[in-house]
Amino acid sequence: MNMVQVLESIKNNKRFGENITKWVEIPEKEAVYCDFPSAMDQKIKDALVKRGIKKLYSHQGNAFEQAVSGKDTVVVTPTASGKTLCFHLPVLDAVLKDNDSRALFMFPTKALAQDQMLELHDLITEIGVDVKTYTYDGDTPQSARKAIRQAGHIVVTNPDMLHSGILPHHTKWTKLFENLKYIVIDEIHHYRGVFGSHLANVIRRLDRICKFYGSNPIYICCSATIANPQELSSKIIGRDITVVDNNGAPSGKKHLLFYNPPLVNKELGIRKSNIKEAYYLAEQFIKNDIQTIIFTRSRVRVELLATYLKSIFFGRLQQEQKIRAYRGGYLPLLRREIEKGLRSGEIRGVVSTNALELGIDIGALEACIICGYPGSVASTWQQAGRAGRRNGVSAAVLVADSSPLNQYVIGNPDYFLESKSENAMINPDNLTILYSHIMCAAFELPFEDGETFGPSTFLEILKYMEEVKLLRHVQNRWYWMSEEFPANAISLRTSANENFIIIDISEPKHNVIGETDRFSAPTLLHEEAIYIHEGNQYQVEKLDYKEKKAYVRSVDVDYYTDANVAVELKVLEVFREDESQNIQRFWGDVMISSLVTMFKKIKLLTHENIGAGPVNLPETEMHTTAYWVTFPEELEKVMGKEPLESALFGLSNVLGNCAPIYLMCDVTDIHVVYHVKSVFTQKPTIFIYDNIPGGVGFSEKLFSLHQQLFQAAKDLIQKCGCSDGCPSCIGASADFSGKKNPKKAVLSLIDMILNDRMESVE
Amino acid sequence: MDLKKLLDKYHLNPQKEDAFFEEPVQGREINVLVPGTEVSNEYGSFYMVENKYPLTYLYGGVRLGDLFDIDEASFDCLCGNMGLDVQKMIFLDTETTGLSSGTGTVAFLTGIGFIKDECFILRQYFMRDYHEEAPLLDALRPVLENAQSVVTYNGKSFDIPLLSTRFTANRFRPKMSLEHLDLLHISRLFWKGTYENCRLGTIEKEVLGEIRTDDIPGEQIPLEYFRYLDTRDASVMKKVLEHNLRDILTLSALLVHFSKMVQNRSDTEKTNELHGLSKLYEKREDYRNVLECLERRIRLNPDDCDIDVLRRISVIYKRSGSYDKAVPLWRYYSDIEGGATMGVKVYATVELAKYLEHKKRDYQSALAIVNQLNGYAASNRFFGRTYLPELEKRKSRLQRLVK
Repeated sequence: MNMVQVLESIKNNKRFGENITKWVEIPEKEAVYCDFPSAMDQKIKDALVKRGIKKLYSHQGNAFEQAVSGKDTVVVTPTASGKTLCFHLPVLDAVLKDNDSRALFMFPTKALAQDQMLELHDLITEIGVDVKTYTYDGDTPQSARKAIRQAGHIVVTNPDMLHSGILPHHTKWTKLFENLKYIVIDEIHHYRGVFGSHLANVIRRLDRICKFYGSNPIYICCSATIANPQELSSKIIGRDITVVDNNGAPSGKKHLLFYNPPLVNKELGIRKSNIKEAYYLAEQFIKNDIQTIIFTRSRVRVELLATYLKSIFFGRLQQEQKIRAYRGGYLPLLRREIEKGLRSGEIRGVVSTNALELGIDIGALEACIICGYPGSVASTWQQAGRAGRRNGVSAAVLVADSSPLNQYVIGNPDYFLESKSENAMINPDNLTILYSHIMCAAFELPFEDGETFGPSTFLEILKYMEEVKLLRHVQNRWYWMSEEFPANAISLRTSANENFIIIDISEPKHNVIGETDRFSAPTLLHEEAIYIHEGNQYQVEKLDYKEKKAYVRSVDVDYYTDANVAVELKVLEVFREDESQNIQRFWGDVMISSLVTMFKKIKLLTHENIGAGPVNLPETEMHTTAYWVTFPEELEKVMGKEPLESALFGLSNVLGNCAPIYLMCDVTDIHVVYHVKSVFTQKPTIFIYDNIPGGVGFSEKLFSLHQQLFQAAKDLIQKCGCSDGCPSCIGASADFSGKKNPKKAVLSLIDMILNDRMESVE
Repeated sequence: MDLKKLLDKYHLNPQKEDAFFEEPVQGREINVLVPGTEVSNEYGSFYMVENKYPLTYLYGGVRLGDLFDIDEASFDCLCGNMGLDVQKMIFLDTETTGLSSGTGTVAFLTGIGFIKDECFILRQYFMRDYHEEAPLLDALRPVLENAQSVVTYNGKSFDIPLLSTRFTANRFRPKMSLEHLDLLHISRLFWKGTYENCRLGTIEKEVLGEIRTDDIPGEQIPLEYFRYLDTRDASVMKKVLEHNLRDILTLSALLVHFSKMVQNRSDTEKTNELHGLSKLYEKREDYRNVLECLERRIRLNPDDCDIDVLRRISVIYKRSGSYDKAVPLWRYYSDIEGGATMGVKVYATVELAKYLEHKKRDYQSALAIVNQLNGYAASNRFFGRTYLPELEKRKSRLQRLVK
């Protein structure tokens, strides 16, 4: 069967057909071309023609024109639209016109940088000019570094290396910084939350260095489709940016299927395993020799699915190699081999984590199965984009699991298809992050009086640093006055550098299996806690609070633990408020202090309380930003205290799961707290705060989304098949007390917000 | 909440051990404690301290004037450049605000020693505050540009790159083409493993016999400088300047010491010096001298010969085909008794066996000595485990050849 026939058979097969909640056909799109820009060097034109490219796609031409006219540009087009030429062409053109020109390329991962190098090399070879391109990252041998610093036209690196390996040593890179024409930031949508807030500060530092050496480089950024590419990239580079999104690349017809595994237990919201369902679907394609990629969310699942799929070829010698697994942790050589196998078509099926989501070249496959919502629309489109040829039909299937977020997406495919609701948030002025980078910047070059770096509080921070003797202010300059090399102690991937690492000691060879932030550690990693990692249970044997290490051992028990946390939330300052008649919303600064007092052991399935234990850990404090909504004071009287508490609890659960839909963040990046009577507002209140010290902008965005957020919560609850609450929406009904239907109670609270009226409350 | 409280709350700063105490410093300013001059130029001013020593001045067991006795052959051996002129040589050492590389570390003190007008002049360039760096570097620049060579201790990886970073960070582009003699590298050849480390202080004490009293430990210097900036109390800076001064004197004495070792190589009784010299000559690819040093080394104390010496001399003999010299040596060590020299014994025997097999085609004799060694190795559990497998391989091959 060919693709069209396979799809037809899936549609007609009752086993599959009735689980498909939406079937979208995206029609093919004709290419829109433009001529080579006249300003482009003839040698590049010749090389492109030799490669069979006689014209550019409209966005490629547009990007070139913008860049050479000196405008910072962000290119926003889908996967496989020829994005790389958008920056390769202006950069190579600059080097051909002036051999002293330099460019810096930044990719979020080392693997991606390596892959991009190959592509760039091909084009350079075709042009036949000596353009020196090097990767400079943690793997670059010491012996090669000097030559790269001196002679590299194009230096390919990642933000971490720029932060700790290049900027603090800028005097060794004078050639680069004096002649820097272009800075390329690929996959810029990847830099959100903490990572993006760090990057924006690294860019502030980079700009200072460039200015010092007298260069004024132009930024070319590339982004996947998100709601706010312009906002995000201009926040990262710290200035206005032009968007190029007139995608001219052609695409073939594409089928997009939303697949919800059937319910097994309606009340508990348990559905059939999406791994098994993904396997059956993948089998349909692979059996018919349709090259397929399957994305799953964890490394363990990758291996599991690959093992299942190999059984398709069971007993056929050598054929099992047609199915491969691919994930982080594989050695580069093995990865290259798999990538090559995919391009050549030898490999017919690959199961991968999001490691293959970013632009690594594996050619275009025909079918893609996404096992579990990848967490953002942008990621989903990137994964789905792995299947799709310029001509011919392709298919992508999203197979949901039973979590609320997945259920929301599967129940609201239109939200997904519009794909304009997802905002990548950063907060470059987050105090902790900003402070770290001011240290690094002062180390790199003394600040001068009148210089700015980020927010208006900058001078105040400098004065503070002088007071604590990190800086010395003399003769109009602020000098670094410490023996430390600050960049070493600052990781771009976390906000506080205070993560707890989780060490599995089940095997003689200890193994780090994960990490968690300082504020969650007492709740998740207290001694005797059951820590669940990739579906496996571990018991915490020892928590070394001082060293920030938790030692866990693999166990198999029929209970989980639930820590009793006394969370205190204090409002410090209100930045914005919007007072309607009944419902008020706020955005401001809060202080969260939490103390874990004890934990309960709760039996799986029955949720019986089967034991408890004390926890002796210090209180943790976090200052961050929050968004909060208050209900009228009389609500308690109208509804009764207990039903109100239940409803607030349920609403908190839903909100915690819905908010990430808009914020491109993890469920754990925000926390929801409710108070029946808040000390600060004196009213029933729900707080949602950034679970990152200082905040990265989530709550601010939620403040402005407000109604949209509650509308999404409503949609999720209404589309859920359960009758009075399940873990896929407001939480398991067993968690609610009282006689009233908690689902209805939560909905009535939501309606109050949407209508700003109290009358809907029974 | 105000910003300051917030910053405190975050504990963003590494706790400083104690606040700098502030007492009146009247009478303890740098110009009072360390007499010197303020030098001004278009970039500002800085502080310079100059000391003159007569060439008869004795330090570390040598006269400063002995620098003139260093001959071409010594320079050739020590740095591969026989054309060095001690009158165009500078001895350099810096004191810095930290040990990390990167642009945030500053050399607040640079000391330079050189010979001028029949004197050894020691000039120290000192930044009384950060803004004095540019004028200081501007004054230092011609000194570095005009010198022919520089002598340092670990300057190849620390002082010189640091200074060149400082020049770049201040937008100076000095044209330096200095021959660089880094004495740390030479010290390591001679004394690595002999003393607890090869730091300048250790070598100065152990080799030159100089004992410093009241010296400031190097690791305290950055913090003391910060303290000075804060209080202007220069009493500890005085010690830092003395520390820097003595380091430079030690550099000159050590250079003389090295050259004397080169000159006296035919008379010395010290086996470790000969060993070190042989390595130095090896670097210069001067194998005639390598051989001379190694042969003398073995003659001095043949029974206490480490495997490195034997291996290196054997390689030279084999390469030049001097089996007439190599074979007796191998026979000697092949017959030697005692556990500590087992490695030497095995090496010599194997070399001998290889010689008999490949050059003489005398498989019988080769087998005989391998057999003998095998038995010896088997009787010694520790060495047996290390060498037996290889010896067995050689043995069975020889057995095949004999047949």
